[in-house]
Amino acid sequence: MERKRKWRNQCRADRIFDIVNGILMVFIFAVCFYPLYYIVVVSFSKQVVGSYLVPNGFTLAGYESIFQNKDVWSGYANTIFYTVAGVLASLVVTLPCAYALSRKDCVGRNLVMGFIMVTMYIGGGLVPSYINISNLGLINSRWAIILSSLTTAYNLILARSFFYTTIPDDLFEAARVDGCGNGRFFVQIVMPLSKPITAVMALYFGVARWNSYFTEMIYLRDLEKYPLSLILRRLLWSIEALEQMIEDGLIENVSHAMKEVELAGIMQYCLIVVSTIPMMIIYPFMQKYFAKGVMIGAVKG
Amino acid sequence: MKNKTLKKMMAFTLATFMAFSAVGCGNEDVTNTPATDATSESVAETVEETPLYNVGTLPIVNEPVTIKILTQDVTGRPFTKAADAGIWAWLEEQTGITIEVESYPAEELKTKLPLIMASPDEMPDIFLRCDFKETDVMNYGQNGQLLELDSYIEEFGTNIQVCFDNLDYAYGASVSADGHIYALPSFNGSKTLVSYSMNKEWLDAIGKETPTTLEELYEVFKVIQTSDANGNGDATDEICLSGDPKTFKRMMLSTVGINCYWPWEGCLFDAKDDKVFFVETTDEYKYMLQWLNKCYEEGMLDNEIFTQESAQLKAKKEANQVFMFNGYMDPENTPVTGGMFPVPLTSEVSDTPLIAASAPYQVATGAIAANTEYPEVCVLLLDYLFSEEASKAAYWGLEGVDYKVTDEANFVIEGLGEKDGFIGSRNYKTAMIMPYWNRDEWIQPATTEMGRALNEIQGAYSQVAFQNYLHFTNEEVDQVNVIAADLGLYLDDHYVGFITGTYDIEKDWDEYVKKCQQMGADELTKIYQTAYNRYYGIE
Repeated sequence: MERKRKWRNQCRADRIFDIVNGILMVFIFAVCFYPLYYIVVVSFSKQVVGSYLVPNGFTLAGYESIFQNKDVWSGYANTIFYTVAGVLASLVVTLPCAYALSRKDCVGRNLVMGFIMVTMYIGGGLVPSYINISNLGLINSRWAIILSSLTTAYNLILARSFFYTTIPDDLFEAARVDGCGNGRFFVQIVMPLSKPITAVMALYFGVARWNSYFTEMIYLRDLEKYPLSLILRRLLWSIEALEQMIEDGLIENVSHAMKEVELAGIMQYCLIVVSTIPMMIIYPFMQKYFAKGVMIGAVKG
Repeated sequence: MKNKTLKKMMAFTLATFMAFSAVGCGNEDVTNTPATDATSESVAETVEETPLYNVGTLPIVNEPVTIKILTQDVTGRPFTKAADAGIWAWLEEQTGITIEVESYPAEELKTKLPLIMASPDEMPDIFLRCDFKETDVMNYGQNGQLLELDSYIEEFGTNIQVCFDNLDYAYGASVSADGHIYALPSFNGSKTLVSYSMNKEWLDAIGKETPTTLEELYEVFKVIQTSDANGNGDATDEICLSGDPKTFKRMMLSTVGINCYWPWEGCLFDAKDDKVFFVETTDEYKYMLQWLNKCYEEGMLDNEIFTQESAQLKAKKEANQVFMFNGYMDPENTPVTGGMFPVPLTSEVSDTPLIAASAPYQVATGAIAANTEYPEVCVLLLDYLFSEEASKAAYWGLEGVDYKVTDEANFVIEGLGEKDGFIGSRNYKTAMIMPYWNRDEWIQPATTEMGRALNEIQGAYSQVAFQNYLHFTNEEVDQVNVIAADLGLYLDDHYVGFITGTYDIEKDWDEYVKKCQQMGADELTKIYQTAYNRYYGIE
């Protein structure tokens, strides 16, 4: 009832605006939603070609073959490990650092900030980083993945801005009068006040870790240590390689190879579905923090 | 050489010296004193009398030596690692060397290789199938990252030398533009070629003979256009001519007598009577464009020829809608019957039937790191791969595991194990992860009718395009890249434009030729000529 009255009370222009707005929203939703839907549809179909709204021949063969593959499972476990451990490590490094740099009485903070800012514009370069990791003896070690991207300048600055604006100096003064030191102040007062930034940081780092494949590709050797994203890459590359081999005439039984390409194509979609599901589940809960995180960046850079 | 004897003598004196000064320490301590590699080895030779390695006999090493190998997973399967192949165990058994294999799929390797090359700690001893480009090999060699093999091959490369003596192109394929050998090729024994097939049943249906020239082909196309040649009741679905966009151009060029196989991108060159010429401004090329333009205008040429992907083409071919295309459909694996290989077409401007072919080898498939502890052992191992038994194992797999011999005299084999028909009779697990010299007499007879016909045509008419043989120096590559980047785009645009009618061949041709020269076609030709002369030893 309420709604209906509201609708009647609106003037024509408003109504037209609402209608156009609605249509546009539906359109944008469709544009965003269809690719995801398409991936799900193809993952259940027998052939990639011809599956648009419903699967072209329903089958679970793709899922069967990926779940039978031990590398997919170990990849899944690795991705979860890299994400969880990586996020924890990143938070432990980023938050205290950002807090310290936000304090006006921190000596030399502008110099340190300057060094950090430089990395936003000039990276260390791939080869020096690799040699560094190699000299540390971390090639083919899970530590290389956790340690090589502990924090990013962008996230650090974001967190610093948050502390800067939400933790007033007076608060620390008051705490100090009561006999509270720096460490205790950070743990007992700053951290509980900083839940939003903690969540935002965790989400930013988490998504980056979940999707990351390049660092892993560079530093890891054993398939058992590969994350899921890299397994997916491998699948993609192998399809290309196989197609190239067919084209080059290296394969005698072409129809068999084509079948293999077809199945690998389906598997690829199944793997995308499987690997995005956890993120899909987490996103709705984290969404409000996500928006907040963007706002923090907007107020002060 | 002189330097080496000097070194050995010094080492010997040093060893004697040390033996004197370390009285009471015993021989063992002498050999363990920290000295340079060269000295300690010589010490071992002189004092213990058992050399580390044997030249020309197996096993290669007398005591276990660990060699790290980096190679590629060339299986087209995501989770099959080259490291798991059975051949490594066999090699270890034969040579006595302990082999550690690290392998990645091509794309991963491409990213990792420059990093590995830059960090000595991560370098393997031997690189197999690492897809080095020729210029990379030369750069790495000159920078001292890859071992210069010239003198080692002279001293230890017994099998490689046999190969150089037997295959006239083998040495040329191994040597870089600076005259040194930093990496060794694989010798496939067979060439890849740009062949095309027609459909005999269509010809029979329209009552025409197999065409032998472009002009006759055009007449055949005309009839196909107006008839239902594939007999499906629809007289309009026939496509006279189609193909894979990349290969199609090479295939058509061969009908006007121009032999190009490589490169796929950029500018094309061919040579006649030791003179290199720029293909895309020749009259033959113009004639080909005119002919194709005529076909295009009249709807004989597939109008998706420049854009289609392999799946699209495959669908057309399987529906029996294409009369002539590059490659072929084998009736034993596909629903299309009637495929046949015509004698390569000639034309008004060319009277020699020709099939363009690649060189029967791949360059730079085996190289050795310069900082390896055991250069001699590495060379001996690499050399062993070119021996008869190792090459056979590398290319065909292991007898009794991967294949069984059905005809002893002619080496006709049948695949065992996973019978998925991958890579012919070869076992995908061993195939293509190391260099080899596949002897001509091991090449298996074709199993299908079409395969046999192809071999026949190939034997009679294929010629290796000369570009395959050339080696360029770094400066030359830089120059070529700069010119070819722009010129290549211009050429591609006009190739498509002339055929589809965007540009008028009669009106725009002179302008086009002039523009090509302005953009550096002549300079490019000169660079190719220099490389050509260098390869063939022309002054």
